[in-house]
Amino acid sequence: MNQPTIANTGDDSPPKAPVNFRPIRIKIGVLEKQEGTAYVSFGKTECVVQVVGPRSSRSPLVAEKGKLEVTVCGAEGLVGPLKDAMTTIIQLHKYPRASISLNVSVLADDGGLVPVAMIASSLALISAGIEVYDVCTAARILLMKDGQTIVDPPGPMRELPDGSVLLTVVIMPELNQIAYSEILGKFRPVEVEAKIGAAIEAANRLYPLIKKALIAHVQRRIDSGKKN
Amino acid sequence: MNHLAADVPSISNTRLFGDIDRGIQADKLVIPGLPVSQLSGFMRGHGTYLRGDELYSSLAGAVRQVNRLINVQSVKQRYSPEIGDVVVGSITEVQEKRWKVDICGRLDAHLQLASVNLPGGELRRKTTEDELAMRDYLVEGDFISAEVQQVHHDGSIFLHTRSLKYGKLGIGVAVRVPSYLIKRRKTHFHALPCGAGLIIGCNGMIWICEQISEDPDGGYNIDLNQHVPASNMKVISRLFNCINVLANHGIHIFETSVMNCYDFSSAYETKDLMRSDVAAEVAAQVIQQLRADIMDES
Repeated sequence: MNQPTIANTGDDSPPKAPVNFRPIRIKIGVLEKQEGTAYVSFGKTECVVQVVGPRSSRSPLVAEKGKLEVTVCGAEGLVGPLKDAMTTIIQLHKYPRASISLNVSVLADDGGLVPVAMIASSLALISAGIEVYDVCTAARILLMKDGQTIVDPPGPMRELPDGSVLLTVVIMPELNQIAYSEILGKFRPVEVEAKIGAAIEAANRLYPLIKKALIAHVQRRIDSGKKN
Repeated sequence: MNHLAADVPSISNTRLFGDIDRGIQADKLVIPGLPVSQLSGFMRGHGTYLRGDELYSSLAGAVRQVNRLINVQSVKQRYSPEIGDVVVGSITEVQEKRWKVDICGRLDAHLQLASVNLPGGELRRKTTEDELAMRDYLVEGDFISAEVQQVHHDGSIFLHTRSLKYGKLGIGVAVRVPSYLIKRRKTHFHALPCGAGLIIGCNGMIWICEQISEDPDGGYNIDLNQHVPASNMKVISRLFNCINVLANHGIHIFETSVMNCYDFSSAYETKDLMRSDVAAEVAAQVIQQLRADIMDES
């Protein structure tokens, strides 16, 4: 992640588009309760997720797989994507008749909320001790008409520059599978693979950071447990 | 194929076929999606899943290995019941021929009508009148002490109260603490010298009451409107705060630690125990005392 942002190169070459993410903060174990919570922010977009469960499902239907309930406050249109992606990631067959609640609070939205919420949700689930197939990493990129890639563009991006494509992709890095994707813009079907590939490559760049945060979190918990 | 990143240490070959000491050191930390072992021939335990031929982790935690069984231990998990555990739980539903009990686990446990002692003698067979009258014995919100009778492979838990010491709980206070702070001991019912009774449930639910009573009627005839003398209430509330102090500082909860905490806390007012500085001071003294006891014993 050490590529240059818009910088003064000293000569007359045109400025490079930002290929870096906004400043990222990840904290696992926030709020009073600590376990099952995570905070993630990309620049000014911030999100806190709390996971409760598994608990006994009070619904009368007997289910062979666990049920995931997602509630979001502070933003619209997140419940669907989160539910889709997280249902793929959680090993629900290990929780028959139980329900897992995912509560998302969007603290600030400066664009790119889906990747932030997805990463925070997956970290909260892992912190709650719920068995999953893999961690989750995600990114939003804007592919310009001239071939430039802008990674993690800030702002709501309601109007796209002419000929550009906005992609959000949520992946499971070790399994190499896509959990959720969103593409907005005009493009030809044959271009999809290349474009998604670019988004996946951006998302993969975050994986070392997420891994480091998780391992540090586990180490902290083990150390604090050893004191007695 | 080597999937391990550079900063995750791999299991050394000398560990593979020997007996490993459980729970002392974390030899390898993993996150979900990483492989737990490079070699095949392991049995998969909790926290792992099979993908192709390799075992991968589904939790973030430490890899534990006992002979050929590999599992991943996540640091804090929900209570996992085992047969013979003493638990304290609350009734959540009354169903046909059984009650559902919340024991702070993944699922509610079942207490079948056939597994309780009703007034009138221990070996009485349950009649249809008993079925209709289930609500007279236990309703939603009542607390009980029971023992885990069976744990099925799909996660269903069955409890029983077929002993004089178990049954409906009367006047008292329930405290919920993380279940990993409770060790399984010979007895979970204690009559404390300070003048109160303590039931330490393996599920993390602790019951404080005036005294431990063995009611042959299974506790169903207790008058919940009895007057509790103020002195007893003070003891109970001090114990409540003490147990919270122990839980907040990660100290294991058993009779000795609770009594030590109670004794050290007598220098302060009960309500002051809720302050973090007072709590830390008392907790430090308890830890010191417990360590000294271990030194004396060895």
